[in-house]
Amino acid sequence: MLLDKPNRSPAELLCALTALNAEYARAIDSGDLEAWPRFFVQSARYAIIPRENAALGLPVALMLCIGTPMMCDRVAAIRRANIFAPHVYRHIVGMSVVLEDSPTVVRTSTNFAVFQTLLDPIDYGKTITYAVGEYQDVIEVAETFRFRERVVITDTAKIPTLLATPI
Amino acid sequence: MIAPDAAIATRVPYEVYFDADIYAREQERIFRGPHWTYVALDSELPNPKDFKTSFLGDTPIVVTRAADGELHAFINKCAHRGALVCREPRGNKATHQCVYHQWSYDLAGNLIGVPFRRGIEGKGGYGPDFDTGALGLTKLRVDAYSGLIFVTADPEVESLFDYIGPQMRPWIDRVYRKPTRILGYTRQFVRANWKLYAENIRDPYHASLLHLFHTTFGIYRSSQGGGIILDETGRHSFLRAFKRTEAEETESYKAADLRTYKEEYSLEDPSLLRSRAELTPELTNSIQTIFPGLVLQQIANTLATRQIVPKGPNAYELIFTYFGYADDDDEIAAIRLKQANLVGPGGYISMEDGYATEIVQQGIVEDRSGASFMELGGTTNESDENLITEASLRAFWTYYNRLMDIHAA
Repeated sequence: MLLDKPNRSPAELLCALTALNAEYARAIDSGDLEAWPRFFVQSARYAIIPRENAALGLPVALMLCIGTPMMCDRVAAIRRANIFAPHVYRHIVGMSVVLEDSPTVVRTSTNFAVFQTLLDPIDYGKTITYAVGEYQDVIEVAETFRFRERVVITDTAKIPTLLATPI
Repeated sequence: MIAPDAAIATRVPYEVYFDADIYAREQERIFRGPHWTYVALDSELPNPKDFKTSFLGDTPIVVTRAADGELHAFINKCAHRGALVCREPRGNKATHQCVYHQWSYDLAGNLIGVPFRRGIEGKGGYGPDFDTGALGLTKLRVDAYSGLIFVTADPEVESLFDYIGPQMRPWIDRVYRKPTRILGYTRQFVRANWKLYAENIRDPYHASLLHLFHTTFGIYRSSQGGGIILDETGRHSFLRAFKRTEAEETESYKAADLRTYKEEYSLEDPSLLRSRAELTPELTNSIQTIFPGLVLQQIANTLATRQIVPKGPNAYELIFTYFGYADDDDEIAAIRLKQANLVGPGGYISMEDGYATEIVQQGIVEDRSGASFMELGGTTNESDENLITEASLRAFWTYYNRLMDIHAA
């Protein structure tokens, strides 16, 4: 399926976006964080912004990566430096709404929920609703789809304990 | 039984971190007692009629700016039946009206409207002795210092200026030297007692041992220079860190053979730590605490207040309010946003703090005979020119115990 062709159908596009989000979620949920930056173009911007800030027009992010090197640094810090309770994520990602569709760039909005299951000895196996919100994406359309921008707007402002793993 | 003042500071009984009676007493003696609690930055309420909700300990409160520019604060509880009057986190309103029975209040908390006060057609309503003047919202004293707004429920407590005191004021002035601009908020809910965080921010010992980000990526080793300054009551503290020379740092770390000394990794994008000198004196980090619930931080170019809000004996919320200056240029604005990665719930050098307090809460569960051990740097609680000390924690507990009269386990 060549998605960069000018005459792709809306169904083909939705199918490709769904696959992109499913693969993105699977990379994080399976613990393959090293794969996470590969979903982005080199100069991409990734930000997790509480909806509270977004609604007030305030720029502070919970996590901000400008370019894939910063994403790789985030992964390296998670692996080697930061200390947090062992946990896994499970993303449930909704159907994308296509807001803008051009031959090279697609802009979308996609709902998500992330459940966190703790693996520490006290709360072992306990699952909490960790964050819910919306991905606001700008996706470069080529043979492979990659994010030029992924802004994660979290309705969840009150983060349970801490935020280590990207959403 | 050991005399309260002497032993408590170095042997803090674990039950102070989970006992419900002690928690209730703290609400009365600390948060509703003779202390000023930070609730907002003045740049959050720039205009007449602006308001913000906040907390005085557990108690929900509202701070408002009246039409004449004066600040007011009151408990967010209707004088009629106790309902929350203000149900939005922030906004701009000329009056505040309880939705339950539409009692309404002005921006100072005075009762100005009561529906069906005289009843309908002479029936029902309130009697002739009904006095709206006696039925306002519970007012709090409110005052600001250098752009930080505080409230107190105690009519007798010293002025805010004196409460902050001469040792702490210069360090607030260092950061609040010109008008600020709010950049955003982050919040985290932590399942631990609020005092574990109060300890954490006074504790320079953990900085390079728990937070491994800088040392892992070879950015600095933690034997950096620094020290602590305490006010005369011991309740407030100021912790500062500055760079020492590379050689001094490396040698003391190699000598100690710590897991935090590693050289093999480096950041792919070191621009994260590209800072710009802006405050005098120049410090890499400064963490100031104003008892009971304010932390004022400068970490590289990130400026923020942190508000510690207790949520029962076993939980607290931490609210970060990030700010810059109103005249920030584009470059420093971008630096602040990038360096916000260092702090907050996802901060490279702060995410561990909430977690550390949780693992203490988990470890001490229902241990009513044990106590923590706080003798690093001796047993005194004085200002010091080094960071390998728990003097600031001992000072906190000494002051705490003067209020709370806890006896050693």
